[in-house]
Amino acid sequence: MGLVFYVIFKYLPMFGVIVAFKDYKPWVGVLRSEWVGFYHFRVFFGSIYLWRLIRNTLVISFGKLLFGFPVPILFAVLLVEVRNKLYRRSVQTVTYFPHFLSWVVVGGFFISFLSPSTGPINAILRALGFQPIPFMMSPRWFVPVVVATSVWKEFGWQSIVYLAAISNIDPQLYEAARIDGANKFQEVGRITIPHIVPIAVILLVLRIGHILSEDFQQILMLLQGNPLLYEVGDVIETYVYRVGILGEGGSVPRYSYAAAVGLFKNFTGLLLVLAVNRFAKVLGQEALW
Amino acid sequence: MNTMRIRRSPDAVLFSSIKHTTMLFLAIVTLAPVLYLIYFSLIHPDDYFAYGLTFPLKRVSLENYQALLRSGSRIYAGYAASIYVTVVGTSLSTVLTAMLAYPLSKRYLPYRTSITFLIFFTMLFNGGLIPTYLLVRGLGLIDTIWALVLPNLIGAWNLFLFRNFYYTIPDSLEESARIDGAQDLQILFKIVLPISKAALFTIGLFYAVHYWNKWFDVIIYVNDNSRLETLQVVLREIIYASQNLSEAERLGIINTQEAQQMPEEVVKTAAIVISTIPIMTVYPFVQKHFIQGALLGSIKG
Repeated sequence: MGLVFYVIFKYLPMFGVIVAFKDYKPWVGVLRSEWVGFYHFRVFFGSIYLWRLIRNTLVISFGKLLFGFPVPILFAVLLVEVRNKLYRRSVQTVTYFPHFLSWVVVGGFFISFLSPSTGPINAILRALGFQPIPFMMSPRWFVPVVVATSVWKEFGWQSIVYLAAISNIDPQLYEAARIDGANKFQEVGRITIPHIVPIAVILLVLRIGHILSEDFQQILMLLQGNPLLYEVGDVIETYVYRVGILGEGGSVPRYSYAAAVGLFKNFTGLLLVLAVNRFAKVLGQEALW
Repeated sequence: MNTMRIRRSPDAVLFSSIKHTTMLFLAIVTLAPVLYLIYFSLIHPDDYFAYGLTFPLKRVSLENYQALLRSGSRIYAGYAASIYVTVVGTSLSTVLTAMLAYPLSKRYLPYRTSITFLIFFTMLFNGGLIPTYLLVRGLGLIDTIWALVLPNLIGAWNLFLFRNFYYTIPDSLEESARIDGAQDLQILFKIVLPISKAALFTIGLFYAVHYWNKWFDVIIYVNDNSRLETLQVVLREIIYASQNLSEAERLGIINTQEAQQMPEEVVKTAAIVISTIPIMTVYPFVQKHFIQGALLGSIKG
């Protein structure tokens, strides 16, 4: 009896696992044909692109961290204070919405919105007497645009976690504080924020662990295939895409090489996440597992 | 205890104004591009040529939409493809995720920890773009819908969400069914699944959004199958091509006659709006479910 039931329970997961395995693939590209060992890695490390790609990835990730991390927290903290239900719900609806759009759509939004000829931002600039700024085409502005659009898209959604945490705070704490004469700022600072800190730290840690992985689709879309932007915008993943699938810089796609580069990034990212996780444990905070 | 004096202290007022300003600011910032786009898409092309983008519009016109929606336009093909992919993908993904999550939620499953760990591991590390691509190609899936559906058929995140949901189902339910002589599969389908409607719906929504937004996979895996070119892909071509109108002509997005009259920018915005309408309309209604799902997942998934 027990056997039958084990067998059945093995079917279901097996079926699923085979497909879930699609999520991680054997690094076929690197292992095929001749075993060239670390040849490709060495090529990559020697290439002029190495520094540029890593730098771009880090700069963009860091920018997103710096600006993108506080905004959801701030938003959540303020949002809970909004008394009017309808008002709050509508704000939530509006701000959560961009998360569900693809970067094709969001990219399209901003390409139009920031357009030097027709965009309102530039229209305002012109009205004020400034030169219009070609946001989407200028290397100077690319990183800010990437960071800003990313924040725009995700801050609402990311605030959900914090909202949940805040709503778990015992209201009596607030009442007690008020009775003791605390003003609004103190309330927020001394009660709300400390309760969010544990979760914020975990999330921060996770994000740092992922610092090497950028939002590939976003960057690809915003790059618009414009080579001028590669100097600041090309990140490891987009490079892998161009070299490995589009075959840039060669007559055929350089699969093995690109696979090696991609693997390097993923592997380093893994190490980073593990390290950061251990670090979080040391800090005494709850970590991933 | 001090005597309590309830007064609207200055700091409360200050806080309140900060709160409202920030809220409004964020809401407006979020809405601005969307509103702008809708506004822009309603301008009549002739007016645009003559006056540029004015405020207020000289007249509201659906001309751009009509141009894009003329019969034979690729927008329709794009919609069809997206719907096809989304329906197939979402149904398969949701059902399989539910099925895989179920055994994983049973403590007596052998190797449960290892399996769970393996799946979790995929969240941290995967082979990369190239190996995946090679695998798909090697399996002969290029230009088929499976290239779009299989690689991420069961998302680890969703899987864990579902598993957590199963934890909340009391064991007694299952036990009594067993006493009545039910087999495992029967239990799954007749008892557990009907209860899971909410979870199914929520996860289904997550997957639906994922499939609806697919474009990159299509670009790399689909070379010669116009049935699979999803709306997002078509949209993307429009956005890029509108930088160059003749390109748009060539791609058959708009015909020659219109090309002469159509200012690129405006066409582009209308296309974006058209692509976004489904989500915009559906979203407010399903928002509640998304949030529930996200909360489930984030309280330590």
